[in-house]
Amino acid sequence: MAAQAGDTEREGRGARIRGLVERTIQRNVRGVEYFASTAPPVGLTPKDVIYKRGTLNLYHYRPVTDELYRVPVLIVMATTNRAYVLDIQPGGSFVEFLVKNGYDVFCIDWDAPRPEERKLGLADYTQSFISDCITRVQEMTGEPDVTVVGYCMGGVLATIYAATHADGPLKNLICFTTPINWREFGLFSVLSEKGHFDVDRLVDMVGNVPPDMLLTAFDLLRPSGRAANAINLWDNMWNDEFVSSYRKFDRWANDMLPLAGEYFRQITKELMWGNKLYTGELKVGGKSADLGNIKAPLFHAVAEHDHIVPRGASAPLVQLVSSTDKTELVLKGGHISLVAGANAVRRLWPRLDDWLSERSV
Amino acid sequence: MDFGACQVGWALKQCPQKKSSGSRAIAIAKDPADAVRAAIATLEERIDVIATTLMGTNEFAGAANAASQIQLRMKKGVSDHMGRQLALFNMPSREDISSIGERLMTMDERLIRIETLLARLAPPAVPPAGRPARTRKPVKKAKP
Repeated sequence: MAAQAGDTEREGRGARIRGLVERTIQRNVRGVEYFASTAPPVGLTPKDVIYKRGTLNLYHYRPVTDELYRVPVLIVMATTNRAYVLDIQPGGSFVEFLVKNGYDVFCIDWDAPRPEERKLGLADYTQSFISDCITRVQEMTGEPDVTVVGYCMGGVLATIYAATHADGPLKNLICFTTPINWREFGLFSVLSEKGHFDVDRLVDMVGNVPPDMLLTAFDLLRPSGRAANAINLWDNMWNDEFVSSYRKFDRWANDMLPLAGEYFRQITKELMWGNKLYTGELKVGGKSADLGNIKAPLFHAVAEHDHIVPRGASAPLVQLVSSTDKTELVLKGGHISLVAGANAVRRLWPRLDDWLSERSV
Repeated sequence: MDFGACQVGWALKQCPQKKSSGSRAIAIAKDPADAVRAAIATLEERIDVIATTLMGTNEFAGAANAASQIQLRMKKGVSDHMGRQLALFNMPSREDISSIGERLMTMDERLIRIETLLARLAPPAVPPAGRPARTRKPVKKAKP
């Protein structure tokens, strides 16, 4: 018996060592392939660009079901990043999930603002771009109601739109990790304090705020993140599925957009310094953006380990709106894994579908 | 708005420092390299805690902003110099191109306004037949 157990243990150890050697060889082979191959394809769900205006693109995803829910869904992407994170790969795409479950999906995606668009402000984004897109969605679908979904800063824009259009066509408001109390931004709040951050000088000097500056600011939140990620990639280099997903998410994370200068100035002064979205004093395009104006059903999903939008910054949304039908869902994960990747497929999307399907008829 | 490199790992369910100590202990027994992974994860966590504490001070914020200002001023200086060189060769500068762009944008906006007015005069056609009916109803799920 003891001899048999010893043999089994030896075999197990042998198998582990063989596996380790095999993985090391695979890492080296795939490592060469990794650097030689081209960028992985993303955003593959079939779509049409139905409207384009400067920095704005409005997509319509082609329906694949025989029947659609009555209320169309309009996704508003954050102004700092591309929307393909929501359509990162077949089987792991939020957009594909919605389309396959019978929703008529539209999406606002942003291009880099051109130098002449440096004067775009919060009013342009919320009162002109979003309003314009909603009108087009209404025209195209023939439906008066629209569900608006906003991710991160897209959630802020959607929330401001909702607050300034209390009697508007908004049927449901869905936000993912949307910051409301900007005093709770941690490191960002310190770095952008009035005492040492001269936003006027910066914007006057550069026009649109360059993406590398924003990327550096975000990297500061996890200083060892890049090194740890590189090690993690090397460790999993033998795993094709991991490498493929890694490349897609890495491409997205580094594919940041510049911010329109005036927009950045307003965000810093009104939201970061004045915290006016939280206090209810924010005025956009002459209209009050008091969150208390929002009465539409609200669904807010936030991530437990979100190091970019901490819980304290996102928590007030549900508390401040006047909606009687409101849900806040706190899920495990981080800022991206809340909406994309394996965790989102399992945790967020089914719960969102349960909530939204009942409110889309 | 997300960029933290570790977030990429998170999205891939691979952020190692979030493993529970229980699962880490099992993993070590299975793969000898897991001990190294655990050590790296701990190190990463410690570096982040120390670095964010240091960076959260007013002194760091002041220094970072000063460095950023210097960098931007240098960029501006290079850009101004380039503008003068382009003028010397009778070529348009970035500002000239931007001002043309601005004029185009004004024209674009006018066109949008005209398009909107036209759409009001001639309302869009009824959605064409052949599109899926908007009659879908949620599937009632049995409560567990």
